[in-house]
Amino acid sequence: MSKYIIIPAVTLLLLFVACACFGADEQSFSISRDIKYDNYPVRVVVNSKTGDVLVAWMNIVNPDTKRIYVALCKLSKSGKFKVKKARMLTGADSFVCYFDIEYNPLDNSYLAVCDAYEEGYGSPINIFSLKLNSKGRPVGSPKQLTPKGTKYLCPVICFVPGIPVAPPNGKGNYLMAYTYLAPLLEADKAGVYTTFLEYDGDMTASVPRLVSAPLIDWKGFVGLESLPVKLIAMSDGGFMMTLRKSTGAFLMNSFLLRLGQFGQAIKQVPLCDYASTLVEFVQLSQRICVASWDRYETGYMECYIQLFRPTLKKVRKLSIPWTMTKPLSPS
Amino acid sequence: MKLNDDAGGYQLASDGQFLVGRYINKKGKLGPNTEMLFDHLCLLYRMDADCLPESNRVFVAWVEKRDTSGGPRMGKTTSVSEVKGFVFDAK
Repeated sequence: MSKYIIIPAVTLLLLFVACACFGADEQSFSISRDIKYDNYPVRVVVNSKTGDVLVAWMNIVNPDTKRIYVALCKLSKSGKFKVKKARMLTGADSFVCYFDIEYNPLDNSYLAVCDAYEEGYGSPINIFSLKLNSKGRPVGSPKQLTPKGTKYLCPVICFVPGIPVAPPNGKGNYLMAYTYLAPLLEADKAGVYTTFLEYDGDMTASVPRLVSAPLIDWKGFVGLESLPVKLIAMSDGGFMMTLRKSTGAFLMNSFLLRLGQFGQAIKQVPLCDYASTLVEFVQLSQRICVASWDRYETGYMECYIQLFRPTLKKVRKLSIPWTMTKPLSPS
Repeated sequence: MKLNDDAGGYQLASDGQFLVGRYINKKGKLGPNTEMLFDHLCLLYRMDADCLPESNRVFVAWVEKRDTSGGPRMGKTTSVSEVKGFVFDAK
């Protein structure tokens, strides 16, 4: 009988202690309120020079019309953040699919990339870049990175990243990735491509490079679920990418790819065997730390952290006892 | 998850209602405690985070929805949603 009283009491105590520990320095605030439309993918980018934070998100008006907003959260001398008025980066009737944004410490600027339908759902998709100054204001006009009229780029609407851009490497150069959905006659062209963006103030895109061949066999279904998930720049000038490949209905394998400084594939290792959701990863000293959610046949979700050397040799795998099926509580 | 290269890092997770975090040292080992960062009646969607440079301060933003019906794929346009931010020191 007593344990039924003690266990909730201990849980509540731990919860209280945990909240008290974090209560002293935390700040919570509203960045943008919208009572009519959905706001979906959110990106948070820290300005490493000023400590300011740029928050970007997509405002979904209807399945066709999506707008990208940014709001600068300015760090004051007292350590508090003040949210500046949100700014719309796209037109009011834009056909944006997805976006990403990164900070460039070389000139204290941000680079936003997005893909957008030319004329609405079903029309060709193009990828654009837009440079922002340190205040989040656009510098110049959007630059189209793909040839006009490009078809069969993965039309991701929400929920999953579609065109991640890596933060600039040591030379300030970016790398961007996207999925190309080939028609039946061009099936050998399907896959995940990278485009190297040379930092010269002009962000000229290079010839797209199919990174998956011959490391990943793209035969089979290349659809909405076969995606580059995230890109990071490595300290040696190369890049690392997580990539999710659909292997059938509701089945996906995740991979970690080592890329050269121009986005060429060098090596890959599998991350998850059965089905995985988005994968987050960073370079941590001399290790690559990857976190992923795996879904098992039971529908049970579990989070794993895996550590790799930069050579992609696995060092350690840790299971995190957080599940999506149980209420979370402090341990 | 977001990590600070020098000081180790911090793993964040949300089940859509709770936001919890756990410290990870720079060798990738987990700290002993899981902190409850946010316990909210509303739903948290599309969380992202980044670290302030040379500190353990973590900035988190998410979309908070009060109407769970539909979504962009469903063509609903009447959801009530708000972008929110949260800053804390990951110790």
